Amino acid sequence: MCIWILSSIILNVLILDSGSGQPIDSRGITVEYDIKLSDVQTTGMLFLKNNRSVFEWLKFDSNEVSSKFNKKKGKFKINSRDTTGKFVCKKEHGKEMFSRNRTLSKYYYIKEKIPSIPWDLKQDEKVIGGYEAHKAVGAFRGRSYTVWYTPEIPISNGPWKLGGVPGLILEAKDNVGEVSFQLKKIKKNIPSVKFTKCFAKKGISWEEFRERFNDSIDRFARYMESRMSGEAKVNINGIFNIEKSIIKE
Amino acid sequence: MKLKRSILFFFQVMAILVFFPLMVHAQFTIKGYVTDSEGDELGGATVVLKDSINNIIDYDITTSGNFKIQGTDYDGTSLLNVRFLGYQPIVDTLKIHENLAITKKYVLQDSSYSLNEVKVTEEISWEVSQKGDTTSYNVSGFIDGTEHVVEDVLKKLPGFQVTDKGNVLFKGENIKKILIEGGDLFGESYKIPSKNIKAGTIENIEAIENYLDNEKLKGIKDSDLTIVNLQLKDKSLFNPSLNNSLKYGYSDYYDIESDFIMTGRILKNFTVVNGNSIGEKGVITSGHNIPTEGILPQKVDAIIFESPIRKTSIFSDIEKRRMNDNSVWSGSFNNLIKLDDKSKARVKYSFLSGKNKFHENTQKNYLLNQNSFSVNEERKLIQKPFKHVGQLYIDYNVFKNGKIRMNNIFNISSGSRIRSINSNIYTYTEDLSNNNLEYSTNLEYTHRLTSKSALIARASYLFSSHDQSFELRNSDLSNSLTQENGIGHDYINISGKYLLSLGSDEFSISGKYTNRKRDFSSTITEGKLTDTLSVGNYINNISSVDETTAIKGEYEYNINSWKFDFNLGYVSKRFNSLDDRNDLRNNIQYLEPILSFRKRFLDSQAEWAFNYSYKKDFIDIGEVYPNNILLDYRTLGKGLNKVSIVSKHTLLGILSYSDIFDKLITASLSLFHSSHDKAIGSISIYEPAINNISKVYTPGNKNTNIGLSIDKYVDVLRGTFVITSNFSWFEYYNYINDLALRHNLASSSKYSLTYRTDWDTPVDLEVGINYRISKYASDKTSDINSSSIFPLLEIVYKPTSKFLISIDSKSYQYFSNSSNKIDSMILIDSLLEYKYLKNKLSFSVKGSNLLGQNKFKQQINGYYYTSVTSRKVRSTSILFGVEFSF
Repeated sequence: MCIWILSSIILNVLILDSGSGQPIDSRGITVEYDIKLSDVQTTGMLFLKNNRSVFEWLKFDSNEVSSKFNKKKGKFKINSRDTTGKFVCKKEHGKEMFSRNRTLSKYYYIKEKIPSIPWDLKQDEKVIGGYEAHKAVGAFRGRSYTVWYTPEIPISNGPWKLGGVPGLILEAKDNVGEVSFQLKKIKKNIPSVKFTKCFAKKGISWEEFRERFNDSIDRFARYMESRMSGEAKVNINGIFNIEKSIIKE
Repeated sequence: MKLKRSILFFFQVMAILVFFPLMVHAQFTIKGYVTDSEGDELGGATVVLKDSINNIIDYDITTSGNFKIQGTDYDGTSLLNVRFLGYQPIVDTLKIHENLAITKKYVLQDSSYSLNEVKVTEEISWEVSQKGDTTSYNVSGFIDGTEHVVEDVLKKLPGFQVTDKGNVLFKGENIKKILIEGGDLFGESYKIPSKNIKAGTIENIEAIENYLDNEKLKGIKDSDLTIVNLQLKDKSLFNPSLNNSLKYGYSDYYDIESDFIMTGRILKNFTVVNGNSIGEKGVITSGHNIPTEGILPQKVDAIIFESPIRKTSIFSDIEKRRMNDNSVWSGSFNNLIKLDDKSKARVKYSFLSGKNKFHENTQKNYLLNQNSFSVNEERKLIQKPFKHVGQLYIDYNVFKNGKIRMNNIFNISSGSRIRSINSNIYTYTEDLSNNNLEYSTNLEYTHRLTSKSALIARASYLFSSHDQSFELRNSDLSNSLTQENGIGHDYINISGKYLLSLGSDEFSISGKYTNRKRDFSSTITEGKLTDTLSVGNYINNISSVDETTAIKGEYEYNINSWKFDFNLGYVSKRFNSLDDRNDLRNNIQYLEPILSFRKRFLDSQAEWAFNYSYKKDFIDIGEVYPNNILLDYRTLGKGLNKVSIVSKHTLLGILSYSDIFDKLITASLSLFHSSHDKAIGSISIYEPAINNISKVYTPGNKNTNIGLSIDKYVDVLRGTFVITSNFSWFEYYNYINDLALRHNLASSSKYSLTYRTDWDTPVDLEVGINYRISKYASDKTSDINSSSIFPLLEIVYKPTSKFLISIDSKSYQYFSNSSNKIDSMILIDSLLEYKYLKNKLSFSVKGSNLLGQNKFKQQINGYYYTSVTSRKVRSTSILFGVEFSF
C-alpha cells in the first residue's frame, strides 16, 4: 500500500510538473514493439503519457542477473541480463532526452536534445494493426530508415530515439536489414512507476559516450584476442550498434 | 480541333517553362501557437498542412506550443490539421499564396478520444530469436560452407564456445545434452552428435536454458542445465541421409568416416563409424573411473596410462594432441523409439578399438673420473584401448502426474600397454593390462503432488569389477616386479525425496538407504631391480571386503544467496582385511553428520564467496583412491596406514576482482584450510618442483593454502601483452608410514609474458615465455629449489577460410638443485591444409609434420650424465580426401 501511495505521489508530481497542457489521456498508452537488432530479437515497450515517454528494451528480471569473469575457467559473461535495461526517456518534442546505454564495460546515462530527424514524408500508405499508416524516410546516426506512422494517433513519437513525424511510428526499419521495430500491441494504460526512473539522472553527452564506447570496444577486442587460441581473432568491425555512427572508423 | 488543342497545349507548356522559376521561389510561412482550452501551451501537437487532394505540403510538431510551417511551391486552398491525442482536432482552411506570412492561434478542446487497442499477430522470422529460455539460431545466417560437423557450426554462433576437447558451452556454461528434433537420442554423450552430424543437415539450432529433463518437476525444481536442440532441414517421415568422407595418403595413411541419420516420427537413428590411422578422433573411453549412482556412459578422453617411468614430459603434449602414429576404429549406434503416446525408449551401442604406438631413441653418456661410456636406449610403447558401451533407457508416463524412468547401462572396457626398453647394456619390458566390467540399472518414479510439490523415489543397482595386472621385468628375469589389483562393487541405493517450492526458495527433505559391498585386493611382488625404476625389494598384500549400510536424511534449503545443507546418516560398516598394517576395525557404526553453508556475493567487478563444511566420515582406501586403481607401487602400502573415523573441517574463501576494460587487470585471492582430527596417512611426498600449486591439495592432516594471482593486459605494438603472475603458499602436516608428523612448506611463483598480434593480416603471431620458481622445505629433508622456463612461438597463416598453415613451437628447460639436473625439450608441430568445396562434394589435402627432441643433463656424486632423446613419430603425413553425401 505504501509503495502504491508513494508511486502515485511521484507520478502526480511528475504530471503536475510536466509543464505543458493537461493530461491527454489519464491512463497513458503502452505500445509494444518486436525489435530486431542485428542478430538479436527482443521486445521493446513504449510508454506514453502527457508529453513524456519512456522506451525500454533488453530488460530482465532480477533473478536472471549474471555477469562474471571466471578467471580459472577463462569464462567471461557479459552482463546481458541487466535488470534496469536500456531505455530512452523523452520530454516534450524538441527538448531533452535521456537514455541509458552501455559500452562493453558499463552503463552510462546520456543526456542530449531530442534529435530533429529530417523526414521525407511519402504518399505510400498501408494498414498496420488496423491503423492507417503513412510512409516516411529519413537518416539518423549512420542509418537510413523507412518508418510507417499513423496520423490517427497524433503523437509525434516512436520506438527508441525515432520520432518527429506527424503521428506515432508503428514500424521502422533500416535499409540494410539490421534494425527493425515492428508494432506488436497497443494498449491503454501504463504501469505508474515507469516514469520515476527517468529525467533525474546526471548524464554525459552523446559525444562523450561515443568516445567511451569506442574505447571499450578496443580494450575488449585486445583482451579477448589475448585469451584465445591460435586462429581466433576478434572482429572489431562486427560490433553492432543501432547508432551506427557511434563506431569510429 | 486537333490543331486548336495542340496550340493550347503548346502555350500551357510554354507558360509552365516561363513561370516555373517564379513558382519555385514563391515562399509562404504559417506560424502559430497551440493551447488547450485553459490557455496552456500544448507541446508535441502535430500540425500538418495538406493540399486540396490531401497531399502533405509541410508539417511541424509544436515545441512549447509553437509551430512553423513553410512552403515554396504551392498556391491555392489548403487544409491545416492540428491534432493532439485527447483533444478534438482542428482543420483550418487556408488560402495559400505567394509570400503569405501569417500567425495563427489554435485552441484545442478536450475530447473523449477512444484509442483502439490492437495486437499484431504476424510471425516474424529472425536469424536469432529469443523466447523465454530458448534462443533459436537460423543456421544459414552464420555458416559459410566451410563447416564440417555441428561442432563447427556451434563455434560460429554468438553465445556458444567449443573447447579444444569438444566441450560445448553456452553463455559460459557447459551444455548437458544435444537433442535432435526434440528427441533425446544421445543422453549426455553429446559429443557423438556434435562431432559427427554434418553441418549441412541442420536448419536451426536452439539453446534451451534452465532445462529440466523431467517435465513433471517443472515449476518446482530450479535447473541450471542448458541443452541444445537441433532442427533438421528435411522433416519427412523417415528422412534418411548418409554422409561419407574418405581420405587416403602417403604411407597408407587413411581416414574414413561414414554416418547415417534418420529422424522419423517413430524412429530416430544416428549411426557413425570412423576409422583412421592419423591419430584423430582417438577418443571414446575413459580410464578406470568407478561409476557412481546413475551415471550415463560418456564419450570422453582417451585412455591415458600414467607412466611410472617419466611423468614430466612435453612429449605428452604430442600424445594427447595429435598422435600421428596410431589407428583407431570407433562407432556409435543410437536409436530413439516412440513406443506409444506415453512411452519412449533409447537404445545405444558404442565401441572403440585402437592401437597407439610410440617410439623413441635415447643416447646416454656417462662421465666419471675421466672414464666415459654410452648407453643407446630404444623405447617402444604400444597401447590398445578397447571398449563397448550399451544402454537401454525407457521413459513411461504412467499417469498424468506420474512418470517412470528406467536406465540400464553396460560397459565393458579393456586396455593393454606394452612398454619396452632395449639398450646395449640392459633390457626391460613393462606389461600392463586392465579389464573392466560395469552394469547398472536405475529406476525412478516421479509424482507431482501439487503445483508446488513433488515426490521422487529411486532405486539403483550397480555391479562392477575392475582387474589390473602389471609386470616389469628385465631380459634375464633376474629382476622383476608384479602387481595384481582388483576391485569389485555391489551397490544398492533406495531413496525418497520430497520437494517443495517456496517461491524463489527451495526446500527438500530426503531419506536414503544404501548398501555397498566392495572387494579389494592387491598383491605386489617386487624383485631386485637396480635401475631407477625401482626403490628396493618389497612384497605387499592387501585384500579386503567391506560392506556399508547407511540410512540418511537430508535437508536442503536455499534462501537468497545463502545455501544450507544438513545431512545426517547412520552408517554401519563391516570390514575384513588381510592387511596387517592397517588398524581397520570390523563392525563400525557411527553417525555421519554433514553440514555445509555457503554465501556468494557478486557485483559488476568483484566477487567474494565463503564456504564452510563439516563432515564426520570413515576414511578408507576407496576414499584415497577413488578413481584410479593403477596404484603407484612405490607408495601403495607404504604411505597408507591410518584409517579411521575422522571429523573434517573445510573452509574456503575467495575474493576476485576484474576490470578488463578500464584498468585491464584481473586479480584473485583465495584462502583454503582443511583439517582432520586424526591422521589418515599420506600417499606421497608432495613435490612442488613438478606439480603446479595452483590447485588445492590436501595430502596432510592440516592443510593451508593461500593463493594470489594477478593478470595485466597492455595494449602495445598493435597487439596485446599479457602479463600473468601467480603466487601460492602451502603448508601441511602429514605422516609418511608410521613416522613422526612431518611439517612441510612449499611455495611456488609463476610468471608469464605473452604477446599476441592484432594485425589486420592473414598472419597471426603469438610469442611468449613462462617462468616458474618453486621451493619445498620440510623438517625432515633438505630444501628443494627448482625453476623452469618455457618459451613458445606460434605462427598461423590463413589467407582464406580454405587454406591454413600453422607452426607451433614449444620448448622447456628445467633446473633443480636437488639433483643438479637440467632438462630441456623442443617441439615443432606444423600443419598445412587446403579444402576445395563444390556442391555436395569436397576435396581436401592435408599435410602435417612433427619434430621433437629432449636433452637432459645431470650431475650426481661427481659423475656427469647427459642424454639426448628423440621421439620418433610418423612425423609426416599427407592425405588426399573426398567427401560426399546422399
